[in-house]
Amino acid sequence: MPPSIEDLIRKSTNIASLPAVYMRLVEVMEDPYSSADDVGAVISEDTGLTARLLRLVNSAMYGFPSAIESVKQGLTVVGTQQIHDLALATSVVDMFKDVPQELVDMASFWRHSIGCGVCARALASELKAPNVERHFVAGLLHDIGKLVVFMSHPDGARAAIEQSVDDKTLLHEAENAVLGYDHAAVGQALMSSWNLPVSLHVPVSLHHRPARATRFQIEVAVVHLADVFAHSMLMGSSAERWVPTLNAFAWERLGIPENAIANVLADVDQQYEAAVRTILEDSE
Amino acid sequence: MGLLRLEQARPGMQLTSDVVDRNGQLLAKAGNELTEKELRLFKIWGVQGVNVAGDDDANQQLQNTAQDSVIEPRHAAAARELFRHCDLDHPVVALLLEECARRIAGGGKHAT
Repeated sequence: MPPSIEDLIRKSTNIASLPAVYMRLVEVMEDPYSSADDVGAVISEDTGLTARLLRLVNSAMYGFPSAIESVKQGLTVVGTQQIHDLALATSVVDMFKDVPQELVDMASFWRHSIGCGVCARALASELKAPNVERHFVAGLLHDIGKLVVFMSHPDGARAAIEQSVDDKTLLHEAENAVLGYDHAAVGQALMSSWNLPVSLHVPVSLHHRPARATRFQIEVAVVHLADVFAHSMLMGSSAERWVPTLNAFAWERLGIPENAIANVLADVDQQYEAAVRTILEDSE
Repeated sequence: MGLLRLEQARPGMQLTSDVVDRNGQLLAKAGNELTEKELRLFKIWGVQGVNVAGDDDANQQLQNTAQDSVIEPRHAAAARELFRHCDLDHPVVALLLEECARRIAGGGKHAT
């Protein structure tokens, strides 16, 4: 009898909640009486986050002519939402350092995840959707449930991967057969234990079943398609061997014209390596 | 023929529909031949694509010159294997399959 999803999350105590620095940051950001200086103070306490923030604001994406050298200066360049998302990405990458390497190469896993995030952002930009960074985070975290299974139930994870290879099925189908649930459900449970907004868990939980979405349909369709794009563009690997089934309904829901795909691919190519460097450099 | 991405449009091509910017401001009229200056203007105003006259073959050739690696049958077969769970008749899948084959042919860009 495989462990329940709740057991998986409870079993690894260090993933049950997000790190203190992230929680303090959210607290400061939500406090109407706090200022940018307070946000800066929290970030400065964490060397990893400081380094990543400076790398982000000095990247080609912002294109500032002179180097930005302090957290305070950096905070004037990026918005609160982006700081939040960067802190979340940093926290999550650091949390899953102990995943067994024999099941998945973590650098490759994050390259797939970051690729999916960048594809999600590019698709959302093509739609002229507000707050495209939100889509980046949903894409980044879409496979997070796999890591929980790898860490808490490595035997089950291995059995599912082997079955997907032997039967040439998609991993989430093999997971359902072996474990009774898939990584999307585990990911959703983890994100809800982290108290992340529902607009983030729904796309993660439905990224293989976008037609089931009754709310956040755009967010769900974006992450679903971004996953297909990231696979097609050979960005990293998350233990899934095949390109996931593209859902025609999700594509129609977005309404992006087919001749805009080349634009999306070009945007992704332009942003991908910088995004990988910003998030991964200190953790590899 | 139809919509070309702006980067693929060349001076001398004939417009088959008006070109407008995001606010609906007319930039060039249907029937005009494109000039170098107009193409620059379109870029500045954020025009993504233009409708031009001409045959599909010429368009296809333009697109092909943009691709640097030759896709051999083994690359196409490897890509088709990765797409075994997708409906290859779907136009978006067809485009992504081609992109994937091109990357395999190019030595698996981003494949690390």
